[in-house]
Amino acid sequence: MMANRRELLIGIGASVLAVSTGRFARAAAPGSWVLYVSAADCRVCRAWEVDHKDAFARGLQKNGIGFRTVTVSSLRDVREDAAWPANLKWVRDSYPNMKGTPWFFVISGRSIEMAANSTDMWRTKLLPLAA
Amino acid sequence: MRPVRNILRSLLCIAVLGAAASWAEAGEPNPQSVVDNVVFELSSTPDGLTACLSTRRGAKLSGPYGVAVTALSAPAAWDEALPKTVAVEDDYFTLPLRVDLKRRYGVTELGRVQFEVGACQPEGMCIPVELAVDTATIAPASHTIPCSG
Repeated sequence: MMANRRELLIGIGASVLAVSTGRFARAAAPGSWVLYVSAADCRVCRAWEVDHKDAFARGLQKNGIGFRTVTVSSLRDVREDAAWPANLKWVRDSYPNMKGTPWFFVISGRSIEMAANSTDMWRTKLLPLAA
Repeated sequence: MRPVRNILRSLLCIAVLGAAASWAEAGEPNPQSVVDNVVFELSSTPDGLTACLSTRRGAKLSGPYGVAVTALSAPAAWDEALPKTVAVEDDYFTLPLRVDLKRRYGVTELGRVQFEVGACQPEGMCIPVELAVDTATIAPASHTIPCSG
């Protein structure tokens, strides 16, 4: 009975891993790219850029994933129209409640595969894409 | 003689207890409002209004973002131009942060004011945090100096 429960747990764990790995693989499909949204007065963003940005972008590139950046004037208005290129406004418009910075989006074609709005979430959800 | 002395002693006790009670009441901290880990403690003073800002759970207040104070009504009631923003070049403010607003002489109705800060949360994100208050609901400052670390 005990062994069965253990096997069941192992099976569940393996399934979760397989699903999440598959999700990352899909997100990392050729043509995928990561959009990083920052603000000039976001000190958390500055620290992340100094400590992680270059290595992360290099890791993505190695895996065939692009990296783009949008920097708004202030985290007061992450939706600042002038800061968003016309061809990226659809990303912003997909998240009407977007507030503060940073934001990270994994994009494939015209769909957002994943979104993270903190460096903690970036670490758990996006960093594996650059491994 | 003894009854008189007892009455005097009772009066003295009542006076001492009354003074202690009023001191304790005045010493109570003013009510705090906590929004997204930012603690706003507001007190009315003879000169106007004092805001004491601090944080919880390791949140920090962005220095370049600053603290913006806006009069949502009766802007002429204040002896300074509003909106005003207090900002510093450092990454984050040293907390607690005290912001004083002076009211115009003779004005009693101060209306509503709004405070806005950039709060950087421990999970690694910075968000704008706002608090709007009706100054009529703010308690007078206690005798203790507000906003001491």
